[in-house]
Amino acid sequence: MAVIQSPSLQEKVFSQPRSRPHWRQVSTWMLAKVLRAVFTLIGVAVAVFIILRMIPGNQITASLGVSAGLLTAAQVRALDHFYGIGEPVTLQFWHWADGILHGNLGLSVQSGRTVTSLIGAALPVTVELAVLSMIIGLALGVGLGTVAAASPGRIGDWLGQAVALFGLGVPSFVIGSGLVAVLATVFHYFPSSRGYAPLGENPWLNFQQLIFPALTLGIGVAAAVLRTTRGAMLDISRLPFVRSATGKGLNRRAVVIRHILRNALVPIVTMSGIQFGYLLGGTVIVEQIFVLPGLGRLLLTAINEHDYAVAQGVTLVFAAGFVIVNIITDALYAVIDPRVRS
Amino acid sequence: MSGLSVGLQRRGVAIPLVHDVSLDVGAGERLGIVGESGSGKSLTMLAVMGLLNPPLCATGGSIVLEGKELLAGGDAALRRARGVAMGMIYQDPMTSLNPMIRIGTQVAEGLRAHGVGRDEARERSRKALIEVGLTDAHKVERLYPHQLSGGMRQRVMIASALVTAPKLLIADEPTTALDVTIQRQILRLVAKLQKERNMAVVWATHDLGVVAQFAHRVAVMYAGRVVEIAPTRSLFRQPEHPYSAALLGSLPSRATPGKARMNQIPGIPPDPTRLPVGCPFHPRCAQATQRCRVESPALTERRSGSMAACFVPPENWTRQNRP
Repeated sequence: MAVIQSPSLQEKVFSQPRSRPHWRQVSTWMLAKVLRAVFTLIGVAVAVFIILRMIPGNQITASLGVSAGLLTAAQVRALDHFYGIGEPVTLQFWHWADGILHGNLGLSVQSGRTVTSLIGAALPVTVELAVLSMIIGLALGVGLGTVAAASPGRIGDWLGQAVALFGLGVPSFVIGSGLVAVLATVFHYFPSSRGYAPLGENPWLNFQQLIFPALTLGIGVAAAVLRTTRGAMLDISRLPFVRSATGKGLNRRAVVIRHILRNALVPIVTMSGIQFGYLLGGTVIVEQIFVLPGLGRLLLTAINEHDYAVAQGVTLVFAAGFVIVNIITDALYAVIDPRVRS
Repeated sequence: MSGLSVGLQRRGVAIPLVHDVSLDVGAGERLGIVGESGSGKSLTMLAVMGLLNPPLCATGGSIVLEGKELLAGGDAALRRARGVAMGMIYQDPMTSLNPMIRIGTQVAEGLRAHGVGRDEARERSRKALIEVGLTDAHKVERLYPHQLSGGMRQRVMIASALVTAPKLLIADEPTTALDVTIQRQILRLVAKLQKERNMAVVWATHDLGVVAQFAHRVAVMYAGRVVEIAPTRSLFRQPEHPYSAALLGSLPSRATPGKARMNQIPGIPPDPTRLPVGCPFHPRCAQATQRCRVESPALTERRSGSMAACFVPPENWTRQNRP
């Protein structure tokens, strides 16, 4: 008779030193994440497809306006066929989904270009804007949050709280419009007047065009991240290991950064992931205000013009971006916290 | 240390929690501090290390370590003294280690903070881990705290306190969170290391058994005051303060086995914001006289070599509450 031996206590304690996870574990984890991401994207695709068609009007009314009412039934049928909206909705969805699987997001009925090429042109602008905004938001948020937590109730704390209150309280379209107005009327500064300058062609002008929209979006991220950083660090600074670190003779800076901030990173990463979602939504408004030819602007135009294929494509790209950031966030937990790894 | 007071600062008013505590400990000496929860043991220990968090702060007195004044010396002096001159092990080994940092780094950290190079720090911290009984130090130093048991963590804490070779080791109930067998191991370990290095050790506990085994001298604290300081043997043979006597009397004894009820001290420790007038122990004291209700006794020398803060000498005590 086989006797199953349970591992001794000694073995249990010492079998854990495997601090690097096994490759197989990592790949199953990744597979699960990717599968979930695919399901999320399918859900988004269905939802956006339905919602777009619930908006009153269609491509015909969008391009012809009031005169659409003067069309004969035959003309309407012909235009329906031209725009691909004569078929039943389910069939339309099927054609669209089939196209996506073949790497074809459809055709923009207003501009006549493929959706893929439109997105391809707009994506770099939005990616650059989002990355720049995130950098500004995280630097400001974590930096000021750390200062605030290190000296609660002092001048640095008050300054940080003021930034947070401003960033959370004032919506981005107000900050953005305000920035544009001040730059134009007071400083006579119009970086976008000569059209958009891609990063590869004119990096300096590109930076000037992007820094203000990035600030507008970044301040909102900074506000939320600052509050999370400050709160988490204050909570952690009361834990016993902070006292024992101080008791070893470490200086204040080492205690704050190596011990307190290090432990606050998990909530900070969580908050940053959430803020990234808001930031993607914010690009729609901010790109409009600062006249940047990014995805947000593309989406807004497409919705106004009932250019379904473009709006659907852009929404999918936004959703994919958010899903990817979520996967990165989850992976970061494991990098930051050894307890998550085992 | 003399005349140390600790208070809780609230809206500019300090609520005193520790009153005028004076203790001294010499090289190679083990001093025990006993008292109930809330008697000010931990606060006193933390005040010595300068680790009180606001709103708590030391409100008066002085702490002198190797001829250097610490309370008035400012943060930098205190920081230099931590680790090099004094180290501390804490109540709760489960939460006193940073969960995000490898054991080796945490032990070596104290050395690095005092200017020791990386390789030497790693070498010395490995030695310290071996010294506290974690013989596979090269393995342990790569682990994270959650991968260790409570006893192992407390050993790591001891290693990280001792790696900088402090002259004074302060132990604040380091065995309370551990089970009895591990408690004994830790106690023996500290005793052994103390002897080898001729360190001064201050061990705060509410466990009289630990004190009896470990300490050369004992200070008994009650309501933020030292009520008796005595060589361990004298304290257990002839307590000079009714509170010490009552503490000893509350120990389960082999002399009264069976159904005998364990003795307990009547009443509860006083609220530090509403200390009674006179001797803080008098409402619970069987020996209290009229004088105890008005006047607070100071520590005075006794024939046995003890110091006690009580107006009533033991020979005048009533039967009740005598050990």
